[in-house]
Amino acid sequence: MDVRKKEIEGIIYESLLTIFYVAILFAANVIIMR
Amino acid sequence: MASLKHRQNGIEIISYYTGYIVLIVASLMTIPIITSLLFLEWNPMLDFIISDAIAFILGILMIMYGMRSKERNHDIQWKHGFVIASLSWIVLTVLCSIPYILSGHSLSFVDACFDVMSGFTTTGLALTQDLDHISIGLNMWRHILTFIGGQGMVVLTLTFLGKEMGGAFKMYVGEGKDIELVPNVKGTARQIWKISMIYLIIGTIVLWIVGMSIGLKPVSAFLHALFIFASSWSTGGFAPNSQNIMYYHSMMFETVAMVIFILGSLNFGIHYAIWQGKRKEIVKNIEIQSFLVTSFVACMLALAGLAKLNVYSDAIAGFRRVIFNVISAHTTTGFGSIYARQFALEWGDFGILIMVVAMLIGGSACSTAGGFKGLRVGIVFKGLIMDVKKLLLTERSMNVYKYHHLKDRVLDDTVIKSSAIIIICYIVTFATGTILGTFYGYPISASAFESASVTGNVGLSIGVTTSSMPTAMKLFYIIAMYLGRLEFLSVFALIGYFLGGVKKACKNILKH
Repeated sequence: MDVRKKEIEGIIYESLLTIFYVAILFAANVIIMR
Repeated sequence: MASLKHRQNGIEIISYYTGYIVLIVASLMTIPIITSLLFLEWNPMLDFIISDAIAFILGILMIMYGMRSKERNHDIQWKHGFVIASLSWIVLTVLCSIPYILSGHSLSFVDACFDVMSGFTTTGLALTQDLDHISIGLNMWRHILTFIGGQGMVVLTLTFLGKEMGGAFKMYVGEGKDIELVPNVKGTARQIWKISMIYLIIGTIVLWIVGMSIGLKPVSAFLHALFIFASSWSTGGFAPNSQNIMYYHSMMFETVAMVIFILGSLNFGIHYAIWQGKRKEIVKNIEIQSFLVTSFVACMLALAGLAKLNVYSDAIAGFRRVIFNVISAHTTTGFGSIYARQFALEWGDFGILIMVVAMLIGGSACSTAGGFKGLRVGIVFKGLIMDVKKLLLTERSMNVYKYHHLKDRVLDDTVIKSSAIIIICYIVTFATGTILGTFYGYPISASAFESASVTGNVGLSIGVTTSSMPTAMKLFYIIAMYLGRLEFLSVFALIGYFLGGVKKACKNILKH
């Protein structure tokens, strides 16, 4: 159960970090294109 | 005489395990057979049944030929592992191209092999004719090829092993992977497939919902979601339509695909470590650091360059046309959100140069991505810093330099040398492709772009790759994709093994 919980947390963690990186790229793009 | 017998044993071992890999991959043809049956596509179904039968017969013949070595329990040596991995890719490329040829969508055998190698190596360039009207079965097959190619055929075969096999690790390394997630290689292969299959379910559901929200019908949206996920996760770049990702006209669809292909370009070791609760790995790992720096700098430089040329007028266009394409190139995915010729006509030399560098660097080692990998860039960069520090320190001081990749590792000259050798091999292949392109009359920027795309297993095109391009270029691109994917060494081992056999045979003939 603990293993499954860790795996789900891991998936959410790395997915959110990737979305966060894409958001940073978008924000930087907004600054440059302004 | 003993040497000849030893060689015979080696050929039997290679034949046995290559046949085994052929059988496993051939069994996957049942998926397009079932798909064709469900959508009442009788001709494609027949094509796959014929192709499957040929592949099964060849696989069984190879196993029967090599059975003696198995009965005698001969060990797989390193050279055998490398040759099995590289040879199975060639045999499977030929066998898996049969449905393409039978479908009539490939103009020649070389075109069909090009498409299959492009799928297996997760490149994504296609010479398939009339892509918008191919059967669902063949589309399914194209995306299965790119999905299993991303994980690796040897990895797939090892997943199905009943028990741990001696020498399996040697085949695994031969396919360009070297990370052991768990202490045994069968368990590692299963973990790789577990990670991919969990993301397959999540990613397909998300893309399915987005697909329906943009107006696709449920069944069509599901198929598109499945195909685009397979391509995104494997950093492949195939799409079921000739317009590629542009077909969907949706920023949301492109953004979801981008998140998936960034995740797909990460090392399976990093996924596994994070799934085990080691969250700091994502901050400490040299590959992640390298990817974040190089991809961010590449995006900003491309944006600045294109802003100067006034190509795109607003931030949304900048994100969808520039950032998407640069990240697609850097992760070696190859989805293009603009038409191929727009790179040549709108992006200018600076934009093309950034894309070429991004395509050559690529994603992570032991992932689905190509290129010479962020790990090697990080190691060589740290090696350079280490050398500068050594120059500045007193001669008596002894420092140990380290880098973090799943664990702390010592940065020594051997590690730096092996990374630099692989980078040099990629650059030589890229340069050869560029020279060949210019020889056939293509502009140098277009030749370099396409050569970087095939060497780094990317799949973005500037318009060079068409079925009318010279056959010599098609053949070179097939070889470049193959070399880039297997990271040179196992292909060199196959050539060496073959030449060694020829040399011994010649010697024996001369003796008699």
